[in-house]
Amino acid sequence: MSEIDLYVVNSTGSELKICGELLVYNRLLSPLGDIDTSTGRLRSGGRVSSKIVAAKGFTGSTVGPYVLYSLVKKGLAPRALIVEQIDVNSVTSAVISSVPLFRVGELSPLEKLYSEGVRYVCIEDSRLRPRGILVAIEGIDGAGKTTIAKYLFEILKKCGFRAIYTYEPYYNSIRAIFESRTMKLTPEAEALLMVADRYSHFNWVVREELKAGSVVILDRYKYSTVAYQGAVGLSVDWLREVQKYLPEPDIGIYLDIDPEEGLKRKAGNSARVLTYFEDLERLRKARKIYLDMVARGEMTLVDASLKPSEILEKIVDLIEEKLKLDLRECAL
Amino acid sequence: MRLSMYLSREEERMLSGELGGAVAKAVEVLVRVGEALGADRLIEISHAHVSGVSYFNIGDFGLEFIEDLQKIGARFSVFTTANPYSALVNYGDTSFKEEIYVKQLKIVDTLRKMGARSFTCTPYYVRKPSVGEHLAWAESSAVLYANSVLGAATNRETGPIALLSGICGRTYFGEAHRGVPAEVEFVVEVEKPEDPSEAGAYGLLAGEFVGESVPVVRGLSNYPEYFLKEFLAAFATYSPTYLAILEGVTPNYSRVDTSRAEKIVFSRSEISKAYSDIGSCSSPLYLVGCPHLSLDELSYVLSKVGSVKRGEFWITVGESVSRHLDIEYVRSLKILPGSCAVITRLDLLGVDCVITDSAKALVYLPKLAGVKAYLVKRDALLKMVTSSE
Repeated sequence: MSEIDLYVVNSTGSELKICGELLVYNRLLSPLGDIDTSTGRLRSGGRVSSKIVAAKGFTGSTVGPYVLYSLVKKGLAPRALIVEQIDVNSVTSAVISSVPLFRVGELSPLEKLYSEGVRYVCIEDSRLRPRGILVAIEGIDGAGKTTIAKYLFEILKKCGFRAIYTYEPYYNSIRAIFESRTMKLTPEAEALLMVADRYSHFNWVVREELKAGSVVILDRYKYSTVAYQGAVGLSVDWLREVQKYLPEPDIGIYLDIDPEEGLKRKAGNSARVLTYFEDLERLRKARKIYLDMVARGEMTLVDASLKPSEILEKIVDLIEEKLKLDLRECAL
Repeated sequence: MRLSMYLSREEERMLSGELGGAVAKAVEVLVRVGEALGADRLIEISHAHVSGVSYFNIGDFGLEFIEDLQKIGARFSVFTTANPYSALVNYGDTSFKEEIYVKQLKIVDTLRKMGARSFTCTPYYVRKPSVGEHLAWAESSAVLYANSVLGAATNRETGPIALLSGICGRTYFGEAHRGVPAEVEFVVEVEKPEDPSEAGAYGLLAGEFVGESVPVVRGLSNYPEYFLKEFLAAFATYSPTYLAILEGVTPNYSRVDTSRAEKIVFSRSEISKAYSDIGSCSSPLYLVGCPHLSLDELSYVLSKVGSVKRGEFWITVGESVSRHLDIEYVRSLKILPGSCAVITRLDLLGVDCVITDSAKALVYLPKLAGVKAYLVKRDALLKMVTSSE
């Protein structure tokens, strides 16, 4: 995992922990010539607003410092600046605008991260590290989770992000236990098998990708167990308790659909059918638990009866809004 | 705020807000900038000179910065001058949009309210600093003049820093405040400039050659000050440094060790390249006064120009200089006090090309004013203006 040491040049207090999308400009930045102050966009493409902007250094005239000041006033400022070379322009810009400024020994490791598709990073204790993004797509059977998750994956790849798509249950051995029926399972045993799969999957697959800076798109996550096993009568509190060491996703999306409609969609799709779960009454109960979780703010509801393109648009907006990622323009 | 810079008791009080929010903000910014650039303390200054006054340059955001300071009670606490504003005049019958006038006048008005004394790029004609005096000047040509000709000491400040220095009377103790360096890397010799435009042409060559390094310059010791002014203004357009040690001029120049320096000689044949054929400039605007003319220069120019026969002739001077004159307004001869044509979007006024005696203007007119520019000698320019051919 790559960590990059930084040196604080202008501290504003807010730099204790800063997370945001990385933008690497591998030249000297001339604020007046290179940034459109009305939009916060670089004339060469891309936005500086809300980003952690890394550049070789600053150049240009007396006017340079006023550009950053103006961006701050308009709410279009970057979260932080990183330069390889300190000069009076970059320092004055950062100081009069109260934007954190860091120096980095060399820009090239940042360029490398960026070229590998790492976009979301955090600066903490004067160290920059990739910070992956965990996106969980949830919903009852037939809501369209897999379709939407795979589309989202394609969008992220197109936009240059390092991303993976993965699903749960993940391990074939766990699936085999469910499907073979050689072991008689109680609802508790089912729940614990699902959770066991999830802990292992998270630890060996998801966590590594997040460390490397990927966007991990999970097709089902811990909410599925709460909803599905809760629907057969297990205590929702217990289902939460056994999963408490699994982190919250950055973006949790619940695709909401009427269970009958979901089953109808599912009938036309024979792949990956865990017939055991597909009982209308149980799906109704699961939906109710999902809606409770939405009401508690754990996930955001997206209407799954919309067209896939509309659903994706909502998800992209949600990611933009929550993480300030520059996604909409390249995605849609 | 975590600060490592040494502050005097007075500066601590300023920072704590005892002298008002604007002073506190100014000291805070100076400390932060100074620390980032490696300065260990602040230094008291006697004269600040603010750059970034043209609306075309600083736009709405610069205006807002100045107004924000004024709103929290900012006043200049030391003698403060400011750079010229854009030339708010007609060219022929063409004028700017009203918005430009309004915004430009707002900038000037706000700075005057804060206590700016005069608008010019030659603040040393308004108040001449003495040897060793500490200043916070932001106009590059004036910085070089103050350090190299007058032996004063100023960082090459950015616009906002000079503004804040004027408010709190301090700047950070940068290299320029330590006196002339003990040793230089380059000695640049120039061969007998015959007029100020030639001195400027040498300045471009020297500035480009030395880059960030402070040089010793030979060959300018017996010239009038306006030759030095043109040389240094042009020098500063290409070099980001704060000083050019002029042999025979700069106080303490003889203490500098040049024994290991690389020597380069620029000859007359090399400056001739700066003077290109003006044949394609059939309807020119004639311009002198970059940097602003001294009173002596202005008197000389006016004595040579009876009536303008061709095009328009603009002369830019500081406000303090123009006060000495009883100027008769002539349609085609415009004396523009406190103004700068180079930072004015002349293209918007329909100007196609400019003929000037300033090497600095030659570089900046295409970039900032959006027009072609041609260099001629001063006397040749004055002859062109008055001849009907």
